[in-house]
Amino acid sequence: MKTTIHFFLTALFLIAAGTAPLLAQDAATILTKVDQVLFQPKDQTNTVRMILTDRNGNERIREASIWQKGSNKRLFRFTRPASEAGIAFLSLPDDLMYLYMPAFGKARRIASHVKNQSFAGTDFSYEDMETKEYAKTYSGKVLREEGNLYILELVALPDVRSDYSKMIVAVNKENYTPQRSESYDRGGNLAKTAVYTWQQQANYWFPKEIFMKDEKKGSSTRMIMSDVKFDSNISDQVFTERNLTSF
Amino acid sequence: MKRAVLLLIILFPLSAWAQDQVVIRGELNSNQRLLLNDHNDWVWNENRLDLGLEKRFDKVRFYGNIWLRHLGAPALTSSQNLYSPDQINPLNLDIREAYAEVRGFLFEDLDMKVGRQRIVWGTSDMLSPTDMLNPYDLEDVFDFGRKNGSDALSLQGYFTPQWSLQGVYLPWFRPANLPLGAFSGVFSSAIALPEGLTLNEYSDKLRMPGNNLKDGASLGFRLKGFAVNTDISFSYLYGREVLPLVSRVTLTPAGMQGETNVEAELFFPRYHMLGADLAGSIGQVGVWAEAGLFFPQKEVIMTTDMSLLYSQPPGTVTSDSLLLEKAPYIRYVIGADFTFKNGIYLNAQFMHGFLHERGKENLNDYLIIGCERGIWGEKLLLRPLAGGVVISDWQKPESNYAIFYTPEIAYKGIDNLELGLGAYLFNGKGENIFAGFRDKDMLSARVKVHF
Repeated sequence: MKTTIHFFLTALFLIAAGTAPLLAQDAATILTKVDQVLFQPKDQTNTVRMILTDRNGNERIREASIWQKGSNKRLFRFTRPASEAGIAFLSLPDDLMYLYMPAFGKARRIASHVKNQSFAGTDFSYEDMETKEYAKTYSGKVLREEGNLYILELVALPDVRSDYSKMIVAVNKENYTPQRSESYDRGGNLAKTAVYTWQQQANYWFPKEIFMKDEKKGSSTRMIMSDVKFDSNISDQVFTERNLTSF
Repeated sequence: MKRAVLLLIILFPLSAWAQDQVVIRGELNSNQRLLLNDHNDWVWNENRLDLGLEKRFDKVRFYGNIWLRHLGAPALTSSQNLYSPDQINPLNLDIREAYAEVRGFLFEDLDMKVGRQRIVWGTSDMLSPTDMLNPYDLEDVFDFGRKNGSDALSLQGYFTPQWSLQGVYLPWFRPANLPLGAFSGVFSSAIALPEGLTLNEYSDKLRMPGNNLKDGASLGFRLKGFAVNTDISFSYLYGREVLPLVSRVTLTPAGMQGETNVEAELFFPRYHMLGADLAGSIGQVGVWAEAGLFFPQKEVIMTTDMSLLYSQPPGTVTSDSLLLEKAPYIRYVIGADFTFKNGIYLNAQFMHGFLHERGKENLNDYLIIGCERGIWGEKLLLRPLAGGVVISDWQKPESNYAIFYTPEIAYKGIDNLELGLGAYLFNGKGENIFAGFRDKDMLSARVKVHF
């Protein structure tokens, strides 16, 4: 009996010792594969319709055009409603963000203190709107597997500034697309949940719809993509202040 | 007025058939302000249609911005005025901007913009000391930083996506326009009369620069780029003051003993400006700094001619006062902003030298703070802390200061509609612009509709 217990303990130890690094490596591999799927196109453009629903069910609509190149350049320009039209947000590598307000006629550098703030009244924050590679942003571990999903826990790397203490992300095992995510604030409380609906076009997967809910406010934003185009050879000039302020 | 009607007749049918080609955006603004004095006088009544039209071709963009306004109250003095709709309901048409912009003009990395345009320099919030190409629009004295468009040619070449050199030539001189109504005198300085004399009548002559290539023109360059995680720029401007200075005052005897008429001569002095600005962040805090080093081209001396007052014995009786030294002086702004976790946004700027202050000895210090928070899903915007402190003499701050407080609550619960209710409260002593407002506390209400 003693031998049996010893065997089990040894086996458990071996499993634990062997599994922990295996899962950590798996998480990193999964994140790399997620990045490969998300950033497989060289560039993409699309229009987006955002339906903002407050806790009482009242809806407001925002529309914008998006240009994205690689994994770290994104330009977001509002087209509707009239009060927001022309406002543009440029996200560049190294945490550089610029906001263009037509009324001021110049692009304004915005510091990282806005990261946890609402992006144009939506339930997405500036941090949510940044383009970033998962593998370069988070360290992760596989918590468990649920059917066709890997459930990962992600924590921002030490040199990455994030207002989330952790994220729980469910990744599809077959195509490595994030299916849903939970973002937790610095106090460890659930802040937001997101659900992604994916569509395949020209061999690329893209999120046709993202439903983001602010669990504290009770409001939600449904982001619906359309007119998606890939690999249009978008010039780097699109992601410059020159373009932000005029064309 | 006829021009305004004509414009609308042209524009609206145009917009009807060309909606898919010409982008038309605009705002309807209504601003009302009420003095908190015994009579509760209305001091501001503005109803404005702000119309922006944009047309793009491949590399060319045309843009126009037009204001059509009703401003102020009817100023009627005779029953004859009642026959004039223009006087009962005065309308004003202003072409704020009208320009063509060409991307890749001559070379791929060269952009050209020609026409009436707003050329924004600097990184500060509204009160940029280097943003001097366009004249101030001081009509609404509380709309700090508002500028008129200038007729200009701007060429901007890009060495890299981040580094560019801009050259700007403004052939015509255009002065600032001054505040209206109850605040009309805030940028005028009093002329000290010799002891025993009282003012009977004041008049002045404005010496405008010649409309030629040299006199009326301004020229500027700006090198803009990015280094060490910071946006930076350096600028040079050969410009002209847009608020006039007095060069000569002539006193002549009036009818009554001890009364005098004053005739002043004003002009717009030349200056050179070297500017620099930066914007970046320290930790999570956004920071910016901007400075303009001004070199007056000549000293400005005001000569007061009293020869006609003191004609016994006959001769020339004048006295000179130095208004502006030739010595360089610097106006600067240092600012920072931060958003707290709970959504409170704080913005603070320290400014040395307000827009009308010139000369080292005449620059006051201003601390301007803004704090706002959106609640109810950003439908209500609260600005409980907004305003500033002015110190005009650090030797005796207790008698040379001003405090202004401008809180506001704004409702944005319906798309394209914004309603605002606020107050302007002032206190202070001494010679500074905001201390001069101390008896002009106001309530304000505004409506803005976007379309």
